[in-house]
Amino acid sequence: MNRTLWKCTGAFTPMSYRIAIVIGMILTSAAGFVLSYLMGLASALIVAPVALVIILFVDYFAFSGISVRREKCMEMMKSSVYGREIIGKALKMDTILKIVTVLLCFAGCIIGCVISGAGVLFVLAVMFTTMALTVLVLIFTRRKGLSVAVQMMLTYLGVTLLDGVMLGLLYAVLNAAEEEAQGISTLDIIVWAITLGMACLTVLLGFLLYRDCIRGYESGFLDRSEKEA
Amino acid sequence: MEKNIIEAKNIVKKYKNFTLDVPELRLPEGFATALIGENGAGKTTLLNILTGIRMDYTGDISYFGEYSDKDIFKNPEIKERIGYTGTENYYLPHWTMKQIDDLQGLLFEKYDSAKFKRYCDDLAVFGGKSFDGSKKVSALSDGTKTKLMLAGVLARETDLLIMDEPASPLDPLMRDKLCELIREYLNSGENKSVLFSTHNISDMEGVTDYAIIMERGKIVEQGFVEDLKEKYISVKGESRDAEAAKSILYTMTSSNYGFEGICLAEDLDKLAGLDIVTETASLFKISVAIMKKNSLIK
Repeated sequence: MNRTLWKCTGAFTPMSYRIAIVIGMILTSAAGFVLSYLMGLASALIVAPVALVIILFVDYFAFSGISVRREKCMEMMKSSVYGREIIGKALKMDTILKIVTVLLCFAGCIIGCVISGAGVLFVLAVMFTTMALTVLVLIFTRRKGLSVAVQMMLTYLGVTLLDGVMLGLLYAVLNAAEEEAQGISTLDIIVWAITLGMACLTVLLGFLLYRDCIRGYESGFLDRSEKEA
Repeated sequence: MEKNIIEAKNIVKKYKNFTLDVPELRLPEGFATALIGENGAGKTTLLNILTGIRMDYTGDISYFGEYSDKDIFKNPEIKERIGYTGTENYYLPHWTMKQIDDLQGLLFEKYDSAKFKRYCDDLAVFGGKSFDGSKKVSALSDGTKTKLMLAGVLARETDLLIMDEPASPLDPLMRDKLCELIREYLNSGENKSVLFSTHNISDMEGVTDYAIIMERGKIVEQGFVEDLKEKYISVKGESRDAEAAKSILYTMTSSNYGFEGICLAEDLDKLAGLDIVTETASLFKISVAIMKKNSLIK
């Protein structure tokens, strides 16, 4: 039996759910495209919470906290010698899919902004900020060992709040920079710096979350603490 | 000489207020073994250790006369040959039957999807209707979830079934069916064995060949049921003899009408002179007597 990444992930998610997620991403992207013409760069702020909800639902329906030690179906996984491999591959694929999900949700916004000449860097800054904050709050709530439903709620509330604060600051910085800027190049540099900074933070935090999840389920398989796993 | 499918030595697992301490355990091959004990005796912990689900213990286990528990992650053969069902169903509530079928196919090499669907039909998991891949686990009752777990484990080619209280959520008819399934499994091939824990001793007695009785983390008695029934005799007598019998019997209950108890066969002659009736004790009575003797319940 070839336990591919896709097969292992697919086993945790029914076809109807996978179709619903793809439709959700396409609709979000299409809505973002339309909104980018109506609202310009601010369309990204509407896409951000929708993308966040989709990421959270991926986690819930796919794994329901399976990476947490002593979760319900760990017994079944542990009764097979391949259980560890299957969960590991499914979590790896899930991490990749999270990134793809967000990119696809924002794709419409990005394309719309490029076509309409509204500039795309701000959209990217919002996208990476949302992702980074989501992952940060997920890591925090997962380490507290909370139930999956509470994790989801806290993550949504946390990221919405943090998103609001971060993006408010971003607007303030951009407005101040625009007044001070000697031409567009200085403004671009500032936005580039924020975008790249958030992108690097997202990648780093994504890696930490993946490592956290792996430690979580490994600790369950080996019955060790997460530090030892 | 009898072969043992599992041999365990010096199994110790410590909790804050409880220690599982099993110096020696032998599971005879080709038989159905009942693991009996009161709540909190350590049955689930022991079964999880023997299945390889719990790894935080000390001790040594050998499987099928050839494998060590230290090789459990390196050698797929060990877990492939052991089928396990837990106290609660181990499927996530939102999983569909198709997902379970796919996942079991990924987890186990010798898993037969057609057999799984057939067992689901035979056990009426879908209430007499044919296999419904889109049905979710959350739509099933507790008893039906147990039937689903049984269907899943019986659909695999295994040599040992380890089942943690499989009869608990089942109705009387299904308990009878469970006994039938266990007998069929034992007869399906050479050297198949079953180990199950149970509180429903009376219902499962008909299929039990060997019994292990636990109390407070220790094995207090074990043996073939026939041997246990020769060792422990049921004794009944008149109330006037209750006082005399009390010090001899292993355990005893008395009322105004008489007394009843369990006596060790070796002590039976000490009851000479008393007006008693002896009969073969059921496994239920023997187990309760042994548990009572070792229990903290007053």
